[in-house]
Amino acid sequence: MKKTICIMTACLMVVVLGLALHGEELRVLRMSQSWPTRIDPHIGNDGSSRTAYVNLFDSLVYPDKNSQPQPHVATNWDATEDGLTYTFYLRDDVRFHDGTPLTAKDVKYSMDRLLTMGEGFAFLFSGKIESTNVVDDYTVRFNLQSAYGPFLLSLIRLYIVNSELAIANTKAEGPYGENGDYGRAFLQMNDSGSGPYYVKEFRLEEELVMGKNEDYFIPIPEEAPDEFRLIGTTQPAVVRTMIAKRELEITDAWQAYDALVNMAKQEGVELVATATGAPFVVMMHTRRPPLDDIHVRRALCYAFDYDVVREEIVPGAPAMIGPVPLTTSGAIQIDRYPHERNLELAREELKKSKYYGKLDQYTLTAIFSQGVMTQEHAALLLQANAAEIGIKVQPKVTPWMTVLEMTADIDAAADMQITFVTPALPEAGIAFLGRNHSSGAKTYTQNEWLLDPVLDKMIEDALATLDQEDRFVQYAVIQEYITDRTPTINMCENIRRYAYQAGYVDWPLDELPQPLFSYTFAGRFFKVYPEKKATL
Amino acid sequence: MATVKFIAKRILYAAFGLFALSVFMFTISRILPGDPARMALGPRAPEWVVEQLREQLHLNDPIFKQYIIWLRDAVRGDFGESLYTRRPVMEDIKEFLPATTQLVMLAALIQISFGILLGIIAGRRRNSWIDNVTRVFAYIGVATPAFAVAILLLLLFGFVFDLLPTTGQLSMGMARPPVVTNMVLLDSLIAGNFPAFFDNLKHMILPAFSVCLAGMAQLTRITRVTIGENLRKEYIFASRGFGVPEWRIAFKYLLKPSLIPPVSLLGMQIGALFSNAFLVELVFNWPGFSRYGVNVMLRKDLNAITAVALVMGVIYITMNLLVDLGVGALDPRVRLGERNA
Repeated sequence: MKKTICIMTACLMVVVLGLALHGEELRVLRMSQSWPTRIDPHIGNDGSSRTAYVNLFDSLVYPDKNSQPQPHVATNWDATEDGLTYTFYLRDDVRFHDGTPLTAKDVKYSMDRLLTMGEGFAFLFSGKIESTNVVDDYTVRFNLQSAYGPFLLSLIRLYIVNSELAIANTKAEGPYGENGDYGRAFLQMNDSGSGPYYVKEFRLEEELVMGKNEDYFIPIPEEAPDEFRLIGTTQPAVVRTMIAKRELEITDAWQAYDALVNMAKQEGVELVATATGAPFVVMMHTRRPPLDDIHVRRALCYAFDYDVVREEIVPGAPAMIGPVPLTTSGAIQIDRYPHERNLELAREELKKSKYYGKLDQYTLTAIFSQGVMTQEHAALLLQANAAEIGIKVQPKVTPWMTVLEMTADIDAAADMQITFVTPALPEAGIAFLGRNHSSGAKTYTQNEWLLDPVLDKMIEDALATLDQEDRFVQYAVIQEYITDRTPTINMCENIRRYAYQAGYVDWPLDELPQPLFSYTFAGRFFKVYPEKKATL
Repeated sequence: MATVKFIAKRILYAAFGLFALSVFMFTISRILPGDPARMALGPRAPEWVVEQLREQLHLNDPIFKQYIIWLRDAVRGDFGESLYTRRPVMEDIKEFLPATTQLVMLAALIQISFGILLGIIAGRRRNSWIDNVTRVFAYIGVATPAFAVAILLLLLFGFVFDLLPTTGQLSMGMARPPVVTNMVLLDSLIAGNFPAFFDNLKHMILPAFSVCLAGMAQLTRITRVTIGENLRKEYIFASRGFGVPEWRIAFKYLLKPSLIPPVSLLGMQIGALFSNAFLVELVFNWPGFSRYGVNVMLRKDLNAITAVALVMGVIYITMNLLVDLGVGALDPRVRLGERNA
């Protein structure tokens, strides 16, 4: 009898324990995202792909909260004095998700693959890397074509793939010569990383489910999400419903401000803003009358109502006092760059212009991207403000494809373009490359058409300076030089807003590198508390 | 033999129709403004990479030559690579079309059952309260776009009453059945995974109703009218006079002739269900072919746009062929007409 009771008690305990374990809720972090998300780190660089890369892959260096590179897979490194050779020493305990150790040959393969394919973040290294050599299993060397100051920072975006796995799954036929398809068909649907999360499920058009890598070389807190899901929708009604039902922990950045405010009215939901380092600007075509006259450009800058932008169009956005957002490394504040509305000064500038009295002959077209409400509102504000000083501005909604096509040709380019430009890395020199260097002309990042060889040389020299302090001094001189030309109305620094479930999710935003987009979504730093969720 | 000839003739017409459609879509997709290679690679990709992709897509060749190359590959079942998913379009079709097909099949089932049933009731009780209610329903159904219905249903049943799931195909934590047909509903049945089957069915209810509401409203109206007309035919009065039971009159003598116009309409409507699904799939985050169609069009994905249009064309043509056969079975005059023609 006793024996039977013992057996029954044991069985009951097993069942209760089983039920208890079964009932333990998974820590899940779900975020809506604009699709498509890529999981091949060498072909994409859009927002949702970056979020995936940060979680699935490792890089030699990792940004600290000031976006500065710190040791990660590489424990340390040294560089020759001329800055042409960098040697990195790797940890020996990093493993890919299939258990293969991460070694120097994987780093070389990743750099070679990125450069050969030329997509994704290749533009950060293209024309700068001469070769990559494997010194030994855990030492890799990069030989640069010329000295490049932000090289270490750029390595944050070199995501290392499992070369053995990629080579084993490479198709012989493909556009990359002897490398066939470079494992492209395989890597775009399969996990090849070593990061804190692995690909659990990847369904195109639906969602990317990432599971916590329990064997990660850096211990991940127990409270960190067991699963991180990127859900492929930005539909306002869906996002609103999912937040309300607590089926979504973080919204995407594309929800309207009013909608986010409404979501934040729900108990436990909060609204947060993150810095982007992206200037929200009106680019003026400096090669076309009457904008080829600095006085007309300065008049427009002074006529513009920056307060309306920061209070109503992008509420809470920081002012831009100078050509580069102040959250970017190497940016300086230049008070004389017009950043406040002053109609008196605007009219004075106009009087100095060679077009004074003839401005009614011109109607300036200001293009903005279709469907982007903030840009549309800014265009209408610009039209109203310019009219006050007698300049006619015609806002024109333009499909994004047409914007790209127009900005590729100096003659087809619009008189003015209203847009955000998110720099690939938050350093002033990198921002100059897109916004002010001649290589940035013909792209959407520069409609000013500066085409100034003196400025180009200054930017190139600054970027070739290895010492960060010296480099930043040169950046300051460049910013003064740009201010003297005032090619842009810097409306504000754009911010991204999200609603998230603060009631049961701990998102340590202050400790994460904000302008370096996507590192704020590194899942291992989040903490999810299902027990708190149950009480909401 | 006559039926075979009839089908052969229709298939021949369909082939011509598809050829014309392919020429049209191919040309339209290539003359739209914007460089698809640049679009696919992003504004920061170096020019040499963009040029390489242009070459790969034959974009530097004359459009006639591009079409010949495309046609040569297409007849072998190779629609090229999608610039959106960066994999063969055929793989995308195989993955996304089944999800939409199962959604449309459920929508068609709901549309036919409810549409015809409501039409019969309204037709037999003309000007009663039930007729008035179906009339209002029909007006609202026809006038409201599918995506607006989708958002309304989502907010009502997903948010306010919290009765049904609102996104995706399966709930979180639900084991996905092994892929056999790529239709989760069917795959879960094959695997004997009934929880997944019912979960998937639950996920389909709101999108399916959103997709079919307009068609159901039209079907209700047409059925009501034809039922009403046929009710006044002499043979119905005669049947009643001979004492034929009312249920027998309804199902044997009234329903069959009354279904000819609705069935003719169904061919177009089931094709239209695929079109309605375009925005509904976006709203419900349903990973289907219609949503894929929207995304490839927004990104000027040349190969995928042409393939999507062709697949839609094949669906329309097939549905119309089936409907023609169905109408022929219902109405001997159609069969005889074809034979005499």
